[in-house]
Amino acid sequence: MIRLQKDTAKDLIGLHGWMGVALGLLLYVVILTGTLAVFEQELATWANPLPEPVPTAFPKGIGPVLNDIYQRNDPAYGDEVFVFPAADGRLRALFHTHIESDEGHGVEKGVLALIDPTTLTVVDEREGEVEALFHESSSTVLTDFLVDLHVRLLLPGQWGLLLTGILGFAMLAAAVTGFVIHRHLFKDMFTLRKRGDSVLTARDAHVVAGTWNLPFAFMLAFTGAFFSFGGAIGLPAIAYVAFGGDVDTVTEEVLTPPIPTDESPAPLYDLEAIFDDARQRTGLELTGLQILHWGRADASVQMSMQTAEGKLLPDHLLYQGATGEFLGVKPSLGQEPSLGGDLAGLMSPLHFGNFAGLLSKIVWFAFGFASAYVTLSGLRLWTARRRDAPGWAWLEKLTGWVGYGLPAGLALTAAIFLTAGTELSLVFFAAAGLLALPAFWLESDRYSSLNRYLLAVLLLLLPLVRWLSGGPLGWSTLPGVLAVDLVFLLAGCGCLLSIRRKPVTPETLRLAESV
Amino acid sequence: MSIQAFTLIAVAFSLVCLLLLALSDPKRARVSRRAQVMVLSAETRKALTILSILPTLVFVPFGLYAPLLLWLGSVLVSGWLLALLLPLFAEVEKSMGTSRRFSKIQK
Repeated sequence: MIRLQKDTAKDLIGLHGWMGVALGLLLYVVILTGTLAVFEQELATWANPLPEPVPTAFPKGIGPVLNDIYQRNDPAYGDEVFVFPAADGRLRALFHTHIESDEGHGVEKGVLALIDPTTLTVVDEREGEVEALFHESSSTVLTDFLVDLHVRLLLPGQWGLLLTGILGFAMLAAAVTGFVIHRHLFKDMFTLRKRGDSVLTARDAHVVAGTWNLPFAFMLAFTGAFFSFGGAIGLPAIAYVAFGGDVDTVTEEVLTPPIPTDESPAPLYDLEAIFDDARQRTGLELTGLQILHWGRADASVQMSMQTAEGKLLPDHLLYQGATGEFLGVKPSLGQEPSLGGDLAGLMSPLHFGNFAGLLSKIVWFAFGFASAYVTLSGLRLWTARRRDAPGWAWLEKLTGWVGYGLPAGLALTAAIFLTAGTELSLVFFAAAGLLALPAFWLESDRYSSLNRYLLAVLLLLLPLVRWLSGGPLGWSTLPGVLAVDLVFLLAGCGCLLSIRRKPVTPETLRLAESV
Repeated sequence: MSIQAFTLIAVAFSLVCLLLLALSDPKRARVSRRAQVMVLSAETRKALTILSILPTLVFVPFGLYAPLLLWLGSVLVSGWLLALLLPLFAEVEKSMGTSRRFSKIQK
């Protein structure tokens, strides 16, 4: 229990509440989309499945397929090659180089190939500027949109990263002030008064979820802010201080393997033999591949392996490209193992929760859900208490719109994408606009209920829409897809049941928030 | 025994400690206006709290940080679910608690 002076406590309560009011809705968008993005792979597979499950990201025989792509394209594109599985299991192979554009600034140009790992066939291959290629050739449009909404709030350039970075710090501040102002946080860990017995249920539910979620709220907020600010500010800042502002040189210094430059031509060693050696050394499968200077004597082949059981970070194996000689295990950042490199490497598993398969994903999803619930319930408590004051009624409606309209809008966007496959941003904004309309004639409680009904109905309809749009149906062929269907059905039923329960009245919320 | 199996056992062990802590929580019983299902002394509750985090003594020295995170996350989520679900069993608890030392709770 933290004892505070009355004035300090009052100031902190104000800070906690006003910060929530100012940034809470945007924070809720980031948290909710991040929570869904924990299951990015499962959702991408659900939306656009391969004919059969993919047993491994890099199947046997992928080496010759990559070699064919290299042979039939401009050899300059072998300068940097990245091969990695998309969220839906298809492999993306990017062969590219850095050139100077007509306007005089550096651009990346190359070939992006999409490979079906079950048949080892190239299903799509495009040449052009890299940024545009990723936009044009994607098999994971739906989850790309979800991730973009989470990472950048659909804002262009670095603005989105800056905003989500600020929101990460706002979440940290809300967690700290929440921890300090709830004086009996740990004593109240199990205190949840039954609905109908007490007007404090709403506040209890907010505090209980916040308490149990506290350590992970800190962790997710910090790692999220790290990712946002790392790209938007951190890297340019390092480049400015130590590399004359050249971000490419920083990246090269940090990520390029320490192999002496030798531009003389030399064929790449048998990729399949290198892959097999890596599998034998680790007992694990590949998850990513980077080849630098394909076709030169100083070529390097670096592979990311699966994370071993009990570990947080995967190993990266480095080979001499021309000879196939094993050069060692490379740290994920820099050329030598370092505390900074390890800490930076830890940010990814700590934020994404993907280090122990489905189990860790379920736990991370639960914390994301709890954080979203704490944000929304906090906003509802705050606005309901002030609903009679001018302007606050609209914030309450706005909370209902974002709180329940956002998931409903996302479900509607997914349904339209499955049937029509149109531009998702437009569909999403149209859906959001449509869902906002009833707010003009319904009072806020009815408006929130309407959005919750819509959400429930859309969740229940999603599996049907997927099936009617040509998706697979048999459990034996793609159990993962049907498992996601089942989750949508259960979530829809849960949503309906929660609406049928006795609603928390505005009076309850007002009394609860004032305690 | 695999690391994942050991992690699940550790989660179950901590969850049992949490359940005992929840059932013997005097404040939870007081605000629900019912007798406690289980009355434990403050020392026993402190011991249970320490026991609930005992698995860290295995995870940390052996550098098992992934299982540590998984255990911590699972225990915290389970604790939250426990707090949410226990009120649903209020009637059962009530019938179990009526024969207990109700006077002690009212103090």
